[in-house]
Amino acid sequence: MTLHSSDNTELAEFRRQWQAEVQAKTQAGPSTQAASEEAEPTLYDSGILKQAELSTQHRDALTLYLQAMSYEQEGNLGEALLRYQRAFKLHSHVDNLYRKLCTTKPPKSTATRVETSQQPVETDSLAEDMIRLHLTGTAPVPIHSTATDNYYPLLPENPLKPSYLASLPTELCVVILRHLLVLDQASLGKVAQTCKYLHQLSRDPLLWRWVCELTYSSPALYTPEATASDPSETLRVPSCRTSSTAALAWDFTATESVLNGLDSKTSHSLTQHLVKQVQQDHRSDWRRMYMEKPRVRWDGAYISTCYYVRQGRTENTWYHPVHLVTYYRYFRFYPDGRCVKLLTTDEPKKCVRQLGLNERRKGLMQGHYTIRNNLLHATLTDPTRSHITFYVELRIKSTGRQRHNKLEWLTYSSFDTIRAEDLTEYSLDNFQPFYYSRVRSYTS
Amino acid sequence: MDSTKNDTDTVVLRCYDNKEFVVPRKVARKSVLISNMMEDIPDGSGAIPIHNVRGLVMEKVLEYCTHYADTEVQEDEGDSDEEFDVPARTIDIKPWDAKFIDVDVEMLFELLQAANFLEIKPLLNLGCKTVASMLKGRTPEEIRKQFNIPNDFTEEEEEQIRKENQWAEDR
Repeated sequence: MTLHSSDNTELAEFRRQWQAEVQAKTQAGPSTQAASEEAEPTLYDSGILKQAELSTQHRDALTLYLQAMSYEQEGNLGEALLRYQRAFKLHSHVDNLYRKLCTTKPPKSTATRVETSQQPVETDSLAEDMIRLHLTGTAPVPIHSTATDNYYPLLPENPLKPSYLASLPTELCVVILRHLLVLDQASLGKVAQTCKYLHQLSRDPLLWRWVCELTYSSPALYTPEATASDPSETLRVPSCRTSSTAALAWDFTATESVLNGLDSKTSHSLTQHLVKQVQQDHRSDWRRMYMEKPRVRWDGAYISTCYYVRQGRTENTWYHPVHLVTYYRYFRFYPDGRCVKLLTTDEPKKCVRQLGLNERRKGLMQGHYTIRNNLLHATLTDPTRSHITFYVELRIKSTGRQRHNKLEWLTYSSFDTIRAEDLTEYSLDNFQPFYYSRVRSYTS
Repeated sequence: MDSTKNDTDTVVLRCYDNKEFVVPRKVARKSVLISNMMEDIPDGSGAIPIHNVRGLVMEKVLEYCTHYADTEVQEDEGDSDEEFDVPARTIDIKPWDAKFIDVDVEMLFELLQAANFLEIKPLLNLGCKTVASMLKGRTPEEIRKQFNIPNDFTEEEEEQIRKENQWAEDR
């Protein structure tokens, strides 16, 4: 704004200077172009100018744009901004024009869709440049390697309506995404698929660090002492907080309270622990860690479907009815280390909503779980037969469809405190693996 | 920072559409920006200009500030230990806040910008949470529609990004 209002004489003076500069350049050829150390991009760029067939107005805009870029590289932001502004005035989509010229030339063009239509730019071009300047400094991951497209302005789909997200500063968008992660981690993946701008924001390493901290700080996945050799030892650890008010916290968002609930010493050692791990095992990439390090999802149920065939009774010899019986095992895990398991013949649609810690129904067991490497141990009791403790050992696997969405049975046993016999181990002959399935009501 | 030392207990804020608001100092102090300005500008030197906010939005902002005028500003969330047993330390929005923020999208985003400009952190957080909950559980297409965002991916890119985000799929 202040640039606009600076007095006209200065502008005229600048314009004269600039015209002289352009003239000198076109006469002397590319060798005299802006005295920046990296001659490579500028030489290449002027090549673009020559080769492309453009109207004079577009050419002027592009020239200004290129000058602005070289000023920007030199660190002379004031000059750069002035030129950017003029360039955008001459041609409102000069950046797209430039990108198009750049991407059509090299063979590995990723064919960025370019809006050449003359729709008005909603955002103030100056502001846009400011964002650009900001982004080129800290831009985390360019989408697909080409150096030219590391910023995607968020233009509204319908230019007549405002694009609300576009009007927000980038850092506010990141804060929104952080809040979104607390509400529902998977939603980040959906936001990333909407457009390039949000895709780029969704790759911010800080966001992924936050996801990892939310996830792996769960008592089920992390013990400060890290002495988890014997599962039966650790399984007794989580103390049951069973007041009625505590039930409020069992929704998905409890993650945040878990994280914030850690005292400063624990959370410090947790952070250190995670940082060490991400460096050692995941090439210092938090997103990679989230993909690779075994975990369970809290926003859905794990379902194992089993069948068996039962011979029906009959009085006739020529008629043999056969019943195919389908039954299900459900597991639901909570961020705080608790879990529920249900054995029923009810179909998922009917019963996943009733799969909760406060539910009382036949076949519903409650307990705790821990995850070490890719092994998940759960200890469960059935409230109606509380003297028997069940031990479940599962292996977390990935399928081609998704990460960590399959649980394979390893062992299943029980211990009866009344009879105090040895562990009873069950045969796993008819046990099918669990597969993850999202349940929307778990995150609301 | 003690307001009793001031002769006048109110301050005048002027928005860019020249709408003026006379507000008690303790209400105005909810905004870090205005609070700083009040210290810099001597008493009785006229209205404090708030250039980036229009009157209608300012009215809403002041409604928020008035409601919380007597509540102490919470320190940065996250380092309070006593909250371990309080399950309310979730993203829950207080009933009054929920009602307050139940506005149309345009107003919501203007409020966000105003809270950012005026540095009213709790309001900013409330706004961000609200936008986040609007994004939650939506498909990419629904998000595009709601926020007027173009799909600027090519088909190949769309496919690649879909694969990249398979971790978030529903099954």
